[in-house]
Amino acid sequence: MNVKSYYKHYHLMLIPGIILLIIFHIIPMLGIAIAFQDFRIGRGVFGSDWIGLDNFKYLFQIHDSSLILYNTVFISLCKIIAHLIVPLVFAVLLNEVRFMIVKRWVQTIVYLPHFLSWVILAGVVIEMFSLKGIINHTLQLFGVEPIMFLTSNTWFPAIVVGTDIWKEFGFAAIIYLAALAGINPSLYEAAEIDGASRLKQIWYVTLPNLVTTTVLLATLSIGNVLNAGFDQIFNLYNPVVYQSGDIIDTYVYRVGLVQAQYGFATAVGLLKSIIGFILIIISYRIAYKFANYRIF
Amino acid sequence: MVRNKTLSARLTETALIALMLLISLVSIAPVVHTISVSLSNTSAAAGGLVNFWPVGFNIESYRKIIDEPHFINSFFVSVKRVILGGGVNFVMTVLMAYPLSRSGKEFPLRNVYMWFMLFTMLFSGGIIPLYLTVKSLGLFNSLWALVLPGAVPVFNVVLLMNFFRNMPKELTEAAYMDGAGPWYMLLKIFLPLSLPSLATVTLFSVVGHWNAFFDGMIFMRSIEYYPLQTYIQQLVVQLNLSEIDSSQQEMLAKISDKTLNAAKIVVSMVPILVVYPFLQKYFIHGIMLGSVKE
Amino acid sequence: MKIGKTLILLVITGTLVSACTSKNPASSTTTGSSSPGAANSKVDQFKMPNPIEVTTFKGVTAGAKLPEGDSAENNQYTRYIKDKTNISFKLLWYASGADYTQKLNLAVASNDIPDIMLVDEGVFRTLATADQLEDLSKVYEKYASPLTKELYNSTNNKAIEKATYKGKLMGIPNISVQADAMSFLWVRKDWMEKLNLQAPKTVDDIATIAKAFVEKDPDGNGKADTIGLTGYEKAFDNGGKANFHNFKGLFEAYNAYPTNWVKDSSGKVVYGSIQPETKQALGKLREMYAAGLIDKEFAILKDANPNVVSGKSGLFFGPWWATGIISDTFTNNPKADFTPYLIMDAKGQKNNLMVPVSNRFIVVKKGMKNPEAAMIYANNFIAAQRKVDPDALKLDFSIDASYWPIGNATYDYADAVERKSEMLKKAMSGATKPEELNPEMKDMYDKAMRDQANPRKVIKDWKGFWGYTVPAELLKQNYTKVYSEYTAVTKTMERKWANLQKLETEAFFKIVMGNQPLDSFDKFVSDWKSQGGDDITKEVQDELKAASK
Repeated sequence: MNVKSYYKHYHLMLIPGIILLIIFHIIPMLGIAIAFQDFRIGRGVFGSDWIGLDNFKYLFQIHDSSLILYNTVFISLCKIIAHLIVPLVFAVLLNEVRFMIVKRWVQTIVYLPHFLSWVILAGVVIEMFSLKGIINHTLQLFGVEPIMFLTSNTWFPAIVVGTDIWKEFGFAAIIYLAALAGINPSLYEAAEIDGASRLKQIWYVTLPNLVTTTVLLATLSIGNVLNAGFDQIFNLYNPVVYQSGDIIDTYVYRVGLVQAQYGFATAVGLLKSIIGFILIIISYRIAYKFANYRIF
Repeated sequence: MVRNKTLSARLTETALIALMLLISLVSIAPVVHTISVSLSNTSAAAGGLVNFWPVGFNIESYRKIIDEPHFINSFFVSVKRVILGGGVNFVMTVLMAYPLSRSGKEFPLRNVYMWFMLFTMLFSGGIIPLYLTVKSLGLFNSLWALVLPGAVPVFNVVLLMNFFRNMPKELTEAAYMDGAGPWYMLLKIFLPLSLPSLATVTLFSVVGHWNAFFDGMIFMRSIEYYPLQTYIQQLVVQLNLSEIDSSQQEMLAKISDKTLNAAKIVVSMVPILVVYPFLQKYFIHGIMLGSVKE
Repeated sequence: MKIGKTLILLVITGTLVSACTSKNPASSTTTGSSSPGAANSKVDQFKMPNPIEVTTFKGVTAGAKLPEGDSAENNQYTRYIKDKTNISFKLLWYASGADYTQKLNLAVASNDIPDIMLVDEGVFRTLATADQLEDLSKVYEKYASPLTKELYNSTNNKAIEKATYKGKLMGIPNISVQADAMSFLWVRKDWMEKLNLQAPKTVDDIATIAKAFVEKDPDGNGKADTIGLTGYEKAFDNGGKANFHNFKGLFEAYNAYPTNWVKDSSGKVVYGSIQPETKQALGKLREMYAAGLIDKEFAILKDANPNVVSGKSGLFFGPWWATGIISDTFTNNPKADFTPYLIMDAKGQKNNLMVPVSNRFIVVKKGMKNPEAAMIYANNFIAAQRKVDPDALKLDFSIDASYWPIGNATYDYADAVERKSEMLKKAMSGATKPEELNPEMKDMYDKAMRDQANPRKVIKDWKGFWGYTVPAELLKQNYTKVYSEYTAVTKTMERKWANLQKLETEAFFKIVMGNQPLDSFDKFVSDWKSQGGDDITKEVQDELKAASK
């Protein structure tokens, strides 16, 4: 194989995209400088004072920064885990349905909530979990006293994670379904001839074929560990559940309401990126070590 | 024995279908609610009296939508955006995923490219520099402002690259033996064999373009250039009640017109539902069937 | 020059005409005496000598209709201004609601601002601090029309002070409509009659009514599903403007002004949220909440309107223009009827935290060639909004005011609502002839007459005038005016205010909802002080002291 002569073709394929990335991502990254400045409107990046790491220090000087950080990581880790497992299980189960019509319809329906924004869905969620809502109504049938879910610091994170799954699992399952569609059917035929039960087929054929996809998604989502979902929480929370629901992004938003603070906001963004990047590298290494597979 | 087995198989199947229907019911509830609101009278909707069935059925809100020139106009801006943006995304994803799916041995510089891309995915300079960049390129009010900044969907590239790498070796090796070059390999061997994953990444970028509203909001300076979701966003977004005064009464009435807003959301979902079956068949059927002979 | 003189003459006569209906004859004398001097000055205060083009951008009411062929950049208002002033506004962009705010902030942060624009106080201060604005002090002296100057004099110069930064006039302030400040208690009258309840005067009366509403099934549906007083997630935010479903009216009855910087009894400016009066009010709210007299779930609501509109609640605090919600309630329940009340403090006095005198400012980008264009625009806009220019009467004021070249702001009398209410009352009683009303008032009068013939037959008619009758009458009563003394952001606030606000809202909600004892208020106060509140208080007091010197 004359591999070296292919190099130029490979470069050629990559160059257009790389140029666009440079123009629209790398050049604007000069703006990261703001994170180290007391950025003042009118003076711009070149005229504002350099203040070193003050913006970063400020983040940790916030009275309850550890609580906010804990909330963020807790909610987002729960979401990451749930987002890996629920769509996977759903996709595998759906794959087992033999009726094509059911399969198609179910798959189409579960993907719909993805298209409703949190502004809309939050209204529905608040209604559902209210004292007169369907959840309390159902609980009452079992003799449970009505619970004020959305003002309860015990329940709030669970509701956030649960409703996020509700909105996104159908859409997230598509990747797994595509991976399932790529499995060679002859593998199932062979397993069937060997007398493998359905469960065994899932265990020995389906799941191994989803490992790569799962590891890939896990690694990429780990990079988001400090993004617990601003839109959702912003639309669902209230001061009573600040204790369990206030995350970095909602806090930064409220700081910005007092006075736009570009330096601080950029610093927080940069910190989130750095931590995300480090975590991605670590999980990439771990995946390589244990699954012997390079996802990047 | 045999009968027993089929019976249990049937039971499993029934239980499975029942579970799936239950899940669907839970998922479709908010959509049905939104449709019901869109078909109710405005006062009932404002009072939160609508659940899963219209109260005071009427189609007034849909009539109003048809009458609103900006809505229809935005609708077509979005269609154009999805076609152009989806097309650019598709070309970029395919072109970049293939060389990156080569191993370090086959293409030593791939790692540099790869980590460069991951870097751009995670780090950003914030919205102000991007705004200034788009401005200095003179792209305000241009469809390209909605397409070019996100032209390379890194997530999709990584996804497709991994699908490419898992391509059965038998196929690719045979083609290599025949002396097929990179372009031939990509276009004639890899693409036809990756329809499920191509359908997936296409769906992702189409949906992404259809749902995006923020870029339209900052780069489009006049309402006639707004994509649909930007247009809807500015109407549906929660109004800050503490900012309102008597001079904005009309605005309050407008914003609180829940039926109209619901109708707009419903209408905005329709195209996605129309396009969906065409892509869906690729990840529900096994398309690899027949191409791999063992 | 000729046109200018005619215009000024028109202005004078116009003002005299309107002064006939005004309660304050002093204003007409002021105008009369100052205008001859203005006419002698050399400049035309109403028109640019040569046509110029000025860039701008603005916020537009979402979905507001325009006649066929008109646009945000070219409509009756822009043509009117162009005709009068020689200024054509080039609209760089326009947007609505939160979208507008986002775009504006981005443009400001990117130094991408137009020649002239209308901004709120936050943006005004940001731009002034950043030295991005043209000093308008001289322009104001030279170009402000007599009517314009009279308008600002009527605020005791408070408006001009608000637009002054480091001794320079950096913007042309608007005049807020003070009617928007009053927080009324709106009560379902039909329910009160059914349950034989007295009109509320004090906070205890609210509790009595709420108790009756909750316990005695006023809607007669046989279910205990009526909730008492409404609230929502921002119920403790008390700006100058009266919101729907917040507790402004109740706090005021305790002389408490949380979230505002007000003068205490000794005349010192203090933060309202940490005062003992606030604790007292919170104690009452807590008691009412525990008794089930306030919506149990008010903390989670983004919007409590559905509770009223659906007929679940018949008791809420809201502004004089609550007619929109009420008319939706009518549609769902034709028997529903609402009456507004003012809640008094222990001494029987009504306290009212006023709207900041100005909250919008016309600003000019630093280095703009013709800064006087802003003043000329303002002169004409004020003349038109006051309807002293006869040509302005030809304008169709039912077209949304945000289509004026730089957007919507009131440069009308601070008591515009009361004035209109008087005009309507006189016309309805026959004291003035309907033909003499300006188009806006004529329209309102027609609606009122149609509604009198067929009460509430056409809800739109009712909605169009009723706010100027019963609620506006209450505005004419005597009340104590309380002012928010400080609305800017100090240096320490930039970093610490978000945290203090979090402390505050968390404490307020938890106290009222019974998660924490009332005395935890004291802990909140000491936390607030030690976590930066004391420093901020000092900064605020110092800044105000420096400004008053």
